[in-house]
Amino acid sequence: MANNCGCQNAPFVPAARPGPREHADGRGESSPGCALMRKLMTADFYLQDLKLYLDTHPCDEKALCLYRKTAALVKEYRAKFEEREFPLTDTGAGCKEHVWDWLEGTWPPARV
Amino acid sequence: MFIFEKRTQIPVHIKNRNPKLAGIILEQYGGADGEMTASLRYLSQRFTMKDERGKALLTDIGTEELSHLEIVGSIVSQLTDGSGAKEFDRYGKGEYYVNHANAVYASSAAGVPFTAAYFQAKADPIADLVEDLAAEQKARATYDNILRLSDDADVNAVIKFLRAREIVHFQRFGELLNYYQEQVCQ
Repeated sequence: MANNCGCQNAPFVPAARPGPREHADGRGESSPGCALMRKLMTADFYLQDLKLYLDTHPCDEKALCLYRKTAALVKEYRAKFEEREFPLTDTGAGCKEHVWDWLEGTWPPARV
Repeated sequence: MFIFEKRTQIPVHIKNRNPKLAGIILEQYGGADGEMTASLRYLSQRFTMKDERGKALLTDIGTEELSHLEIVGSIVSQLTDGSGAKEFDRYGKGEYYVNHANAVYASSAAGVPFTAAYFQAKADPIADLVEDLAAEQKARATYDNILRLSDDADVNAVIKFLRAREIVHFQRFGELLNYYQEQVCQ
């Protein structure tokens, strides 16, 4: 069936947003934390898209290999981000003494 | 189970306030072909898919739809963030403001509250998947209509991403339907 995206089986990678912008918390888009978040979002999106593809193509070894590589990247970026910025998941929280750090960061609808 | 991650799937950063556009985009939050309907449809139908492949695909797409619900809610909220009663009224959204103020309420653009009557669960994978294929196209068509109504570049960048995902989901549901139909024929 036709669509506007060419090959329907190719994983979709979102284009990077142009130009620097100011964030709600004052960080520019060029800050290291922001760049790391972009890397995490891009890699994890690729992982999620590969997951859907593999659900209906479980014997595609090339996709499986890409999945393994991407999963390792996502894990690395998430751990780095949580170490340098703020917790994203429950296992990344509770790392600060005397204070509940889970409250830190960008809760929706923060401009990210 | 579900694990929450404190970020949206893609960046959502809307600079302009526009309660009227927020009201239009609300269609994809709590409307008939919106993300709430989509996620609850797939996460309900998955229990009676016939094998692991079907359960996995409906769980994974249903979960992605939840993250899209979060994105659409963030757009609506950012578009009305800081708007007062008078601004809502000036944009023709006084009727929304009087009931919900700046809240993101699960209704259609026309104000009809969300209902489970928007979707089915038939314990019949063929019937459910054919509904799912239609649902993805109806959502895609709604996003097309939003792009025809919106001039906001920040909003449109996110809407185009969500629109593209409907096409990918349609493809995957089609592959699962073909797989089941081939089994029926054997």
